[in-house]
Amino acid sequence: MENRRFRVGSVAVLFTVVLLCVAIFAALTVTTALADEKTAQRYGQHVYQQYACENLGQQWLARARAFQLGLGPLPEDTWQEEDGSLTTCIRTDDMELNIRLDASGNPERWSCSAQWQPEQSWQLWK
Amino acid sequence: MNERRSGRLGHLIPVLLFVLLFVLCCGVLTGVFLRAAALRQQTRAYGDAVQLCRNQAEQYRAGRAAPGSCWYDEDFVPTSEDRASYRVEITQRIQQEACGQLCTGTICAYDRSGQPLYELEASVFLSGEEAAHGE
Repeated sequence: MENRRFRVGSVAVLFTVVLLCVAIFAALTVTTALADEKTAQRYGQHVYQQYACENLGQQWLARARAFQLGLGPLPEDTWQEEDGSLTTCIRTDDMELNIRLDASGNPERWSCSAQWQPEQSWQLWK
Repeated sequence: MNERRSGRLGHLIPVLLFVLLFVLCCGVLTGVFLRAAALRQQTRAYGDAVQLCRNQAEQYRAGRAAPGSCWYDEDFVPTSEDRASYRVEITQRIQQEACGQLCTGTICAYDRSGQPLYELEASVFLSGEEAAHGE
């Protein structure tokens, strides 16, 4: 009678191992998808901040040109050189924009750079 | 006879329980994989929207993108409205300055269903001569 029993031990072990493997793959897939999502959001945030900084630069450019034409006051945080050129440094959250206008109002330097903060932890996607 | 049949059924109960548990686990794992696939699709759409908005912002600053809507496929190729995967809309506001115009374009990317994915603002200062030439 004992020999007639349906033995599922080996099959159960096999299926359990298969399930465990698939579960590990599923966890890795979800983790990778979450990491990709976080990376994409960080990139989008970086682009948004960069353009916000550049927009402030365009606003400064309008005021600086007006100053050079005698139509307005010297913009804030602006240095005037002896040759008539204007220089400013605009800082937002993580961005820094350096602009230098020559005496005729043409941009000599327009440099926007990000100040990267290094990750100190291993939780790269949290 | 009935005892023998009930004995066989009794032996099959662990098997049925195991099959049920296996199917349940397979269902849960399939759900996890589908959720991950949906998340990847959302991420891809968001990344595409960022890239499209950035491209349009640069074109707008260069004076090569006018306010209005453009339609793009998944490869960022301009296409017709019915084949498009994304729609990019530019709305413009103009602020008069002492010696020119400060044009600010709000660039928004939408998916096929019209849901906004990403929004970007790009400003460009046009001196009096440039503004007159642009008009």
